[in-house]
Amino acid sequence: MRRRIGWVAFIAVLCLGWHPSAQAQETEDLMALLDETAPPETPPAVGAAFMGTRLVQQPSPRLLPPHHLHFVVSHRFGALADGTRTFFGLDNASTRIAFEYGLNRRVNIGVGRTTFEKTFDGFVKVGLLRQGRSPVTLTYLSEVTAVGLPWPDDGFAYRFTDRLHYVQMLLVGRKFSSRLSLALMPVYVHRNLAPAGASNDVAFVGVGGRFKLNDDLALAFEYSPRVWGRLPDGTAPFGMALNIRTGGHVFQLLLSNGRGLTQKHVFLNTHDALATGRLHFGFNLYRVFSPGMHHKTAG
Amino acid sequence: MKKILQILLLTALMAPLSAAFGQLYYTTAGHIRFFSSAPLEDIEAHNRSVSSFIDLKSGKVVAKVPIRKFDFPNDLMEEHFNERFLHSDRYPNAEFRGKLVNRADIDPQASTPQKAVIEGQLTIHGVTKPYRIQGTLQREGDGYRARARFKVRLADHHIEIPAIVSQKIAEEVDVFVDFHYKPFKKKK
Repeated sequence: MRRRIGWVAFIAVLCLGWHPSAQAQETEDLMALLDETAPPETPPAVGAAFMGTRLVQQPSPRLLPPHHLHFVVSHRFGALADGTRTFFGLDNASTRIAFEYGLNRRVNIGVGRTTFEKTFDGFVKVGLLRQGRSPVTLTYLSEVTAVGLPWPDDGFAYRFTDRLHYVQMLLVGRKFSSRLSLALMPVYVHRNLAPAGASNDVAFVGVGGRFKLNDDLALAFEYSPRVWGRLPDGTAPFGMALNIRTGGHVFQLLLSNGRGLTQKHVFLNTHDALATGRLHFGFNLYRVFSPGMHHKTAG
Repeated sequence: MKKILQILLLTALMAPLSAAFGQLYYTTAGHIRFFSSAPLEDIEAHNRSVSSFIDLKSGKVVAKVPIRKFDFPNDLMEEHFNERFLHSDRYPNAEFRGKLVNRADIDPQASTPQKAVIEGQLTIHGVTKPYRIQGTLQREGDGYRARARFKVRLADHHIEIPAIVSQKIAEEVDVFVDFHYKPFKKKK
């Protein structure tokens, strides 16, 4: 009997010892218990790697979110090197006005009109992979442009399809840190009518990136050497931009070696080799229209 | 004698169990909503992934709010919230550590909402501030429902609103808390 009491006491003490009173727990213990209990978080998709839907002149892997609308106004000017004769290129402006829209999480569509060569363009941008679940973000872009210049009076029977240019791009992006994102951009361009000495098909492999200076400012660059096809008067498009975010706007102030506004013009109509130092000033301005905002009327 | 011993043994076994865990309640799907009312825009966001523990014996309360789990009416707002204002890559969670200061006034068995006052430290955007939060605690099944409402001044937590959007984002946002606590049973 005595022995049994001893055992009971022993077990009781053990139990008491094993279960420390809740009162003794500090909040840190409770926080540790919470960390242990909270369900493991699925890794969220990595935040914005690029500020705008364009890197500089070329598209970025970034998609416009569903039902967001961009109104984009872009200008490219003549060469800065022309000096006071054209007021550093400002007299030779080319303008593009465009709309971009997020159909859903994966698909953006857009249309634009550019003064240079009286060009209409339309594009579809499709998000294939997103960093977070995959190591990179992968986006596909397909652009069709129709140049609208009147045909030369040279006796040839031109067809409408001779006006068309097709650009296919793969945009592979990766955000390496909160500041640095890089992109690899293979491009294939086809045109139905090529000038003498130039190929109908040319391909480029571009590199680009952006570096965030602070919450609202970022530097971006891109450079796309040609890897395939003949393009006698063409050169590798290069551009660098300062991105400025202010509420519902993104501004991109840029310097580039061409005046391309559509991808067709960026890849086929960039003539000033980087070595010549003939750079052009330009800008892209995005006005964002977002759904679901509860706008109040003034007053 | 044997009977008494058995009862003693049972009590000895049960008492510490209930002391340690019987008073501990938790949720991993707590709901927090905030509302910002500014001259040009009203913004509301919801988070249904808040974890919290409450120990009704000691009165201790902790909560963790994953910032990226706030849902906004549109993705761009959510991006700006995370990247521009809350910097959720650097400060992924808001955390609260506090204590129920009027534990003595609360009848844990009452089915009517009991007034609850909680004092503690709230960390948002890496900046910790003391808070005194008033709410209610109400028996609900084998757990409790806790509700509270309080204000957060963005400047208190060094959340800077650029002048250009100051007409769209309030300096002070209303925070609504709604947790359904369940009894916590430690997994063996």
